Amino acid sequence: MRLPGESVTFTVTRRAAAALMPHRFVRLKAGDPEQIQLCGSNESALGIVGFEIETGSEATIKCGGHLIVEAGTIIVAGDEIICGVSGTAIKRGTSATTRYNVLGRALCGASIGQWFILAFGPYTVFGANAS
Amino acid sequence: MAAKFLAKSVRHRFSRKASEALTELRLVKINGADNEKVDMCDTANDVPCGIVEFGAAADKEAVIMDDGHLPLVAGSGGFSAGDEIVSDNAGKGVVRGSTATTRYNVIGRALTDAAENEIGIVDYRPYTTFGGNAS
Repeated sequence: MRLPGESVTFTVTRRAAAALMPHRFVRLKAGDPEQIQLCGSNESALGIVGFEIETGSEATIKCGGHLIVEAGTIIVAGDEIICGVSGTAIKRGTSATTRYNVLGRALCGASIGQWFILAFGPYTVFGANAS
Repeated sequence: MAAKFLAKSVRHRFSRKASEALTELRLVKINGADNEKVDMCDTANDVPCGIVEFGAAADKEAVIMDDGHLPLVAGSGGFSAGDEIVSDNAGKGVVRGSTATTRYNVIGRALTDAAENEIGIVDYRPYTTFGGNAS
């Protein structure tokens, strides 16, 4: 399938606290919001980096629009997306007691390691109503 | 009816081919079999990807708005300013329900009132939420 077009509406720049891989989610470094690092599982992301970035270099972070991101699991269009390991994108879980930091919805499907388009729009939600 | 502020302000648009005829100012979703196409939202609480700006015939390219203060046709019961809006079974905007165990695919909050089949303005910023806490 053709990858639908990326459309970036907002960017910021921050210095990379560690090496960054392209098309992965990044977050502000704890204790130093002037730097960024790759997101861990279900962490709240600032945005997505588009290029490989060396430690200490300034990185452009895409924070709005329809953004390319790398799939860490099989993705189906419409899935609510959260961050997996090392900044990859995975489908949110269904644990009733977990608050998921959703980062938007997939606009197309993807296999593991493929890129897909995410309609970036963060919010939080529990996986289910436990009652 | 209270005064309306029909100031449309679109921050983002994109285009996809219509898999079927699309009715303007209604909610559309990604086609499950071909993610390069869009369909009308056709089940209650569907997962929209935006609002189609102009009507489009099948196989024609359609313009979809998915950020900003966007016009949307109201469904049964209409909506009021401040309401959380979801899709009905025809891509119209209706007020989300309050079933505790249902996850509602909210597309944003209404900025104006609108009676059924009138056009209202919605602050489009999607999220999901349960209808209540059942505990």
